[in-house]
Amino acid sequence: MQTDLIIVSEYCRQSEIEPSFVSLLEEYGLIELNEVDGEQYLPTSQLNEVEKYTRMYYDLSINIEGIDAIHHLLSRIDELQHEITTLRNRLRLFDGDEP
Amino acid sequence: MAYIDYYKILNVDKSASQEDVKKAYKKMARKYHPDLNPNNPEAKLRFQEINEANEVLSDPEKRKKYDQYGENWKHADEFEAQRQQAQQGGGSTGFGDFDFGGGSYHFSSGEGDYSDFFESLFGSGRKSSRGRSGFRGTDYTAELHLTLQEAAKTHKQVLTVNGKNLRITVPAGVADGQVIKLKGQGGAGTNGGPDGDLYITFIISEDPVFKRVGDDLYVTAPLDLYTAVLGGEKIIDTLDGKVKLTVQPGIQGNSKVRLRGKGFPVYKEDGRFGDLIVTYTVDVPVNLTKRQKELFEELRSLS
Repeated sequence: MQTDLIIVSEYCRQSEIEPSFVSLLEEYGLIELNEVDGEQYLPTSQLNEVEKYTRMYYDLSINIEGIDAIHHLLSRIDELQHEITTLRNRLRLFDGDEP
Repeated sequence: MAYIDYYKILNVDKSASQEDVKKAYKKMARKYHPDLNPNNPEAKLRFQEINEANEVLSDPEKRKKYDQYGENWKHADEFEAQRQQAQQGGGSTGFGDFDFGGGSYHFSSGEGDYSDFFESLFGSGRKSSRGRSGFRGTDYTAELHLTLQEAAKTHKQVLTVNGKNLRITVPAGVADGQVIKLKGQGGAGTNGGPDGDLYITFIISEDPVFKRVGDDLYVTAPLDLYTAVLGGEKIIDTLDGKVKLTVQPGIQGNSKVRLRGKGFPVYKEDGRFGDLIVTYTVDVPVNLTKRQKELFEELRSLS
């Protein structure tokens, strides 16, 4: 399977963010970077996440520890939401007479 | 269209400094930002309000105009015209008949998502420079209602979102409540920010025949007593036609048969399907004729 990669330094230049911020995201396990011949690359599949964390960091002045905590809480909310949907679907089986 | 109290929205005093406004805005934005409140339309609305309040109160010129006219904002343009006419030696035009009636606080869903109030006072908004990269456009949400049969097939649908027609491909196997994101199809970004995204939630209606749990389908098959006792055949509906099942003699009510691969298509996994689980129920005959009753009595005496 092919993965599209973006050079981190180029991405940072275009989006006007510090490369150290992207490194920080990787350090906290929020994103994963690839390294080829000493150059760091960002998989395009992670772009949305990086953009989201960038907004939190630069626009909302949330520090990296806060972003990390938010990431965990949002994942937990997502899991719970999924569980609610599954349980709701199962509950439907007991509604009415069937099956 | 009603007057909007931007100070109240940001929870700041009328004498608040630019620094106070900025602090209050950031605090509120952290609470209601769509990134921190995914799939929460209420928070999104609050975020739009806060953005708009900040747009006005953080810009000295806009804030001055807003403070100057306050609740009489509807007079603003007329007042300006009258003043200019007076300066040119013209007569008074008066204010005419203006509606001060209330009305609900409403944000337009058009470009930029400003309230009617904002657009009346400042024109259709383009945000002033506010920082590094501005905010991305508003995310839009839409619902797409499908029947179970529609959700079982990859097909195209045309959605109208804010007057724009979007042709999307609905992949087979979407789940009820599932949300897909169309990047860049939301509101336009402001101050150089990127466009927002469009989130489509699929609502799949209950089917009278099949119940769906994940990728499996459940169906009930009523058997007459004689088939249940003596065995026979039963035709079952599946999503893609009918199948004939052999019923073993002496089958009990509530027995289940699992038909592998006859369930719902697995989302984005071509050729993979869940199972169809058939639950047999047994219909006990009622309104027996005299003869039938005698035969059942005979059966009872034999067993």
